Amino acid sequence: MPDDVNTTAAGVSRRRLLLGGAAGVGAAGLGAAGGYVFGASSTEPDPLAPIDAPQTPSEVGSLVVPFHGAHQAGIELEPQAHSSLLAFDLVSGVDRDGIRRMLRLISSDAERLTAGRPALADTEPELALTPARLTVTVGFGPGLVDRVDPARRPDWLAPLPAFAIDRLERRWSGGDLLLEVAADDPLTIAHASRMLVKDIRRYAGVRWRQDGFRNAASTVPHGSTQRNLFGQLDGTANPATGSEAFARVVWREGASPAWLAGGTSYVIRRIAMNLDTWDELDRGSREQSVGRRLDSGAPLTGSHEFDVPDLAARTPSGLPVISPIAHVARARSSDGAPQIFRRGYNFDVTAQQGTDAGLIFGSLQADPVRQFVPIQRRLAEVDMMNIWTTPVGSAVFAVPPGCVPGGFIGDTLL
Amino acid sequence: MSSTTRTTRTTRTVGRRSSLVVGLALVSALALSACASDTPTTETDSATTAAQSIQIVDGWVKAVDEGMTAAFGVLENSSTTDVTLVSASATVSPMIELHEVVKNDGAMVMRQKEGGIVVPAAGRHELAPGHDHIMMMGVSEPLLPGDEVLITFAFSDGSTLDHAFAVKDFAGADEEYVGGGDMGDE
Repeated sequence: MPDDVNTTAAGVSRRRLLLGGAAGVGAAGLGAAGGYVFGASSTEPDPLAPIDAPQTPSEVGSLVVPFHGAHQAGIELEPQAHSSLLAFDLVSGVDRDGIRRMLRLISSDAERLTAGRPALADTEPELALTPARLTVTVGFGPGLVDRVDPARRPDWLAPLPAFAIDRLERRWSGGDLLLEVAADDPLTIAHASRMLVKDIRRYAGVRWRQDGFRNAASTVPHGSTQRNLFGQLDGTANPATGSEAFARVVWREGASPAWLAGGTSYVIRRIAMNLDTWDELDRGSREQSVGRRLDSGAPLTGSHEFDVPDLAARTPSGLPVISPIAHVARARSSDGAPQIFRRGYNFDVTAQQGTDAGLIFGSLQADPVRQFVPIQRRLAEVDMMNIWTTPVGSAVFAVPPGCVPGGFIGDTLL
Repeated sequence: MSSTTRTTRTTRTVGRRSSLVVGLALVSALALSACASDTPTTETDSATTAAQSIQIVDGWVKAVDEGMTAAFGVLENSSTTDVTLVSASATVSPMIELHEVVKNDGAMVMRQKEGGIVVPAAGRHELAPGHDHIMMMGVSEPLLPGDEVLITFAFSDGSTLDHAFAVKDFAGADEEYVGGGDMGDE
């Protein structure tokens, strides 16, 4: 991506420097004894030398994701490094007109901040100048649509059915409004989310906030499947952004309801992962529980990450290579076609109380009841991973389509 | 605002996964060229009014239930002569003054700005909390965040300009008013 945009002379030379650095590490090998190595120079590296001191802002910081369009931004893109998911409860008494005013404020802030421009009345305008692929994605919970017009709420916009594995806590569940603020720079997110929270507080208050992270921007090759805190590649089965499969899985069309055409649904589940008991497993058991190799992510019946798992394959002694209760066997749909688009972020808020880490499981699909619930049902029935994972939060939001200049997110409903 | 709507439509498709990204440097370049093309040429067109030369950008008003509030923003002058803003009016406020904020006995206070607000030729003048602003008094209806307030600006040549200001909650902009007249806070 940086190769296609904003390729300044400084950027090129810096990239070469970093590539040279990687080669240098290999050449210098263990002799570098942990010191940083830069350039292809054969001279002894200076461990106190600055790592990289660009005189211009980095390409990562200046990238802009367009706000306007047929679909909302922040969904069909390689996920940013950081995400803050904020759910709000509407203030009592806020009616349709109040919701419209709130959505105008959100859209104004989002349009400006995602372009790297300060919000109106921005008291920290300097914090707005590094967009870093900032996106603000708006979702409506059941309560918001009901306040506008209950007749226009699709049936699926409701809490998911209860699953036996759930241990849901209110503090991570539900909400009338969702704002996902995501970017490759957490300071950018902090400013944008602060701006949004204070601009709409007359209409809505924060119900929960979940902050998640993936690899930092540009530390792994573009398109890499993310790893979760169990070390597993997570999201291998995702349809590729820009593909027909993605459009079929995620984007809604048609008139039921018409205000959601071009939109989607967003299921957000907070999955606690028990790192302490996972620690007790040897590597073979870990791979058996998922049905994939930990290093490459390849199914135990294949050699590459995207190889199709062969659930019928047997060992010479007649046992299934991939256990029928392994995660990959249970999550897979009958025809193997992707049903959902995963947008996952890790969380780790371990503190005095002990380990508290896991996955913010985001699932985007045109219809959550038809596409997501069957998968979750199968996993709730049997999935070895249930031993180490526990859903502690759950929320469903309708994501309205994007807006045109002069419009606002949600104008199709209001 | 208009430069944003022009430039943010730009999209790029990169690699296997399409990512809608465009370098900020590119946005800036487009914005600059857009501004340049919007700027009138150096012809001395006596038919151009002050109102036609002025563009108001980033305009906003502090939300208030009633009483006093203020409007802020940036006045941009695309002409080759200075433009003087002499007054402003709005249906939501029976009394609007052009104010400045000055130091008075060590405290920052606001007062009516004598001679109006001058926007220099090919320049800009910022209206901001703690600086020059449009003081709105006697507001009797709540100005709610997310709404817009229409304000009419009058210039020294008699021309006028309407602009919709976005209403936003704002914690600051509470300077003490020590202006002439008896319109102080109550």
